[in-house]
Amino acid sequence: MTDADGLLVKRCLHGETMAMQALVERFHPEVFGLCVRILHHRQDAEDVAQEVFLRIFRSLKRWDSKRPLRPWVMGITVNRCRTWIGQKRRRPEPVDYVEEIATTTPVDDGSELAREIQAALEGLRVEYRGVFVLFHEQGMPYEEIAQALRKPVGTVKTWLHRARLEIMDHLRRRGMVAEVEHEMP
Amino acid sequence: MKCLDIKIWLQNWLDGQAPGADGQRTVEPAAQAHFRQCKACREQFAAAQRMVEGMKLFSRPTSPARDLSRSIVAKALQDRVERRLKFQRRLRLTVALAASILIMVIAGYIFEPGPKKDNGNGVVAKQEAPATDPRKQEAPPEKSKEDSTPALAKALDEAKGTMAALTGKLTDQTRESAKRLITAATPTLELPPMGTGILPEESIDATASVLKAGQEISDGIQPVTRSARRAMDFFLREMSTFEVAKVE
Repeated sequence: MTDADGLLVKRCLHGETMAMQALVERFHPEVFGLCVRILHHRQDAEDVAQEVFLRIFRSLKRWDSKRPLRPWVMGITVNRCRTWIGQKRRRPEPVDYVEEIATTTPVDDGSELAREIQAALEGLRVEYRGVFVLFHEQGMPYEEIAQALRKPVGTVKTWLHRARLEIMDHLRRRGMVAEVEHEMP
Repeated sequence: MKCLDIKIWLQNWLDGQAPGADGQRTVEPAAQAHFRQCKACREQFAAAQRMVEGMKLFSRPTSPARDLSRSIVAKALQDRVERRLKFQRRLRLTVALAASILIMVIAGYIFEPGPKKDNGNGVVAKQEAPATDPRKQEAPPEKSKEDSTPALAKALDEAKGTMAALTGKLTDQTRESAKRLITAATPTLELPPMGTGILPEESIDATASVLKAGQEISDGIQPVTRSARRAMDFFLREMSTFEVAKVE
């Protein structure tokens, strides 16, 4: 896997268009999905995903070929999303843009439960949000998340634990958890 | 199991719910027993189950366009070209700047005014440029009042001393001339011893003429001395005025 990644990266560094396209196609769904989950805005997610790939191609020669490529790509994605959110907080929001956000459905899930989880995610800190999505949606193990975010595994575990607690609390407050009897599966 | 154990168990249970391990979750009998007794833990577990259920309903956001990868690659290639051009521009600018600094240094070294002295260590030291303003030489503007006043006073003292010495020398010369004149006029004249108060008849005329000559010489010197004194006073007055103006 790492050899294939190394070869792909080497070809990208030589400027092979096909290799670059292959890299984008391989990681785009995950990068875009993570951007959507963190930013809650499709248009923003598209822009940030493009930025992420530009950044990846810029700094590809700094990638350590001994490490897997995926956590590195996801780490760049989380960092770009965090930077985007920070910039968005600082710059004034045009009125029509605000309306666009309000009318845009944040996710394409039909379920109310999924929408509530998405709403709960919006209330989380960016770091917690990233860790939660990477673990529960992207299926990344703790070690890879720690590599991606350049944090200790313990920190990742703590963030994930807090994210879960906040989401569960949100679901309870929103009445999404029915009163359960002691019957267990 | 206690509530604290259930919290740890719940996290482990959630950790095992990564995509791919779906449907394999089981609840330990010990945990089930605790849930029967503890409502809070039961609700917490129910919320965790709902969360996992909701995550399964999450669908991956679809990619916006099929030719997106092509446009991203095109942008990346354009970005690479732009960055290369930017780097080359920056490099050229840096080289040009370094070259101009080098030329300025060499030109400054070659066309530097005034002779240079070697201080013996192989380092060429610059000679101080001659001052154009004499006042600056006497009292440089950087110096404070305390620094400049003693130098001025010393110069004035020297000027006074020189004037006094000149006047004294002139007086001495005049006296010597007068002595020689008297000797030449009356070579055989013997003056009475001091304290008698009586002069011989022959010497009265000679003495009178000498006194007269001395008086005339003294009268002649007086204007010179007076002029020198006036010049000195004028010089001192001017210098003190200049000093006050400079300090202010």
